Amino acid sequence: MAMLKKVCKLCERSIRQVNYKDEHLLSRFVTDRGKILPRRATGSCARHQRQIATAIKRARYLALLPYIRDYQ
Amino acid sequence: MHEYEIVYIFRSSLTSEEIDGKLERFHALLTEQTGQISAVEHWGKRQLAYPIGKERNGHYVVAQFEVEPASLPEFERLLKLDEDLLRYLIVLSEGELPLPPSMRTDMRTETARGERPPESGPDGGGEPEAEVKSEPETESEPETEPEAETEPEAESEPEPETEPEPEPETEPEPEEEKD
Ligand SMILES: [Zn+2]
Repeated sequence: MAMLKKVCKLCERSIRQVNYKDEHLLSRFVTDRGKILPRRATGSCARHQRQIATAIKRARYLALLPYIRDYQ
Repeated sequence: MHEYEIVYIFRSSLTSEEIDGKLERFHALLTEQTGQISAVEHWGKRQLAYPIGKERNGHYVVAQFEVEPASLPEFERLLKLDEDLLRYLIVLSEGELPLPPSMRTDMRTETARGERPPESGPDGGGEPEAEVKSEPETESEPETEPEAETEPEAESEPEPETEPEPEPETEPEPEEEKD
């Protein structure tokens, strides 16, 4: 398996502030169960990871993202 | 004066007139006390990611306003009295720069997930750039978030647990330094 060097996608795209209302962006940073992906899985830098986590928690609270995605 | 942003989720059975009426009443409280509403954006009805009470849909409205932090408690008291307001969240405005279009589009195609309400991004805010970092005391945010509802795990989830990863993360990656 290739150990690809991961680069922060948000830095790459010069995103300054992760918006909690952009659930499509945020949904890339959660597992299919809805958990926040760790940095080592996404390659996010610490600053953006912090923003992502905050944004995801807000988005969950606002029912823009599920807390847990259930498969029945 | 601080600039805040609020997201309202109204019961989706309300008419837009009813919602406008409520917003007017809420916002009057702010403007009475030297506050100022800078933007109101209706997202319209959209499906909730999980039901809130018995509701499966909500009518979302985002507003930005400037107000003395001291007037927030009274504002929130008013909001909490309204049973048609399923939920709200007040945060310090981040300046809300619209995402670069390049990003929005290809992020979207990669994650396409069906129905999408009116674009949420480029809030009609006028002067994004300069304002962005103007809020050092992020303190006011927690005061609204946790107490606002009963969601048990609301702000607590740590974030690590995921699928067990085969490789332990060994290399110390100097991420902060590149670019
Ligand atoms: Zn980054």
